[in-house]
Amino acid sequence: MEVEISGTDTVAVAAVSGRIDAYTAPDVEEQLQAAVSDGRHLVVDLTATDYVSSAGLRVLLTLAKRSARGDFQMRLSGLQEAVREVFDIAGFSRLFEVRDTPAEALAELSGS
Amino acid sequence: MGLQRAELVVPAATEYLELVGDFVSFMARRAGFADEEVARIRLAADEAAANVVLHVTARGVEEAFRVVCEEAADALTIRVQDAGEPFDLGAVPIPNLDAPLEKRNVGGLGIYLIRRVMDSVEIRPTAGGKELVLVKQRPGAAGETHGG
Repeated sequence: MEVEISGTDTVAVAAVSGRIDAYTAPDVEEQLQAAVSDGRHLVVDLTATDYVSSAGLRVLLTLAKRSARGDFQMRLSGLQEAVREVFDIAGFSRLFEVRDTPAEALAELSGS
Repeated sequence: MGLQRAELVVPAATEYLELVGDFVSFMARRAGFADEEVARIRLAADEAAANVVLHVTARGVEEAFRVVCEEAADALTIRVQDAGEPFDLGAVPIPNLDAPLEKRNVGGLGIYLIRRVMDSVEIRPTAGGKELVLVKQRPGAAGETHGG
């Protein structure tokens, strides 16, 4: 698992590659929380994420709850089919704003 | 080759979860499951194993646990066995999927995901602890359920 942070002055784009399971989730969480610590909005790009377990869902839910409190805005992008299925089963698809590409999500948040 | 049984014993540490997933995926593929079903079976085994690791870690001990895959003519059975106490699966709260974001619980999703992707899930006491028994009907087997 790797997290690569890019983006702009106002939006962090965190591209997560590999697996988000109980082993990698603490590291993913730390890096995503760090990415928004300077007040930027957040795009979590899952284009290269091939697996998300409930541990990964917990990380994203924790961030979404912070986002809902107004700390920052958040988008997800690039969900692979297997990841989307886990989101659907867990009822997460309705909790997140999901875009096809990180560029689309970045453009949206750049205007806010 | 005929119907196979294979087992894997690994330390109860999260770094071994990927190995558990690879093992179970191999056995599921061998049993003839299509890729998307292999992914679901892997998810269930990963969640079951992660649950064991979480509870072993909480007890502050170092233990191994065992994952057994058994092919039968009609199904693949995965047994995740450890030294922990059996618990009542029925008492595990079902997440409220309709709850708004602020009311969604951060935990409790693992068992729910397992139930949704497998055909049956049971906890049984064993001589040395407990086992979580996950069953998936093989493709084309009588009694196969769809869309569960």
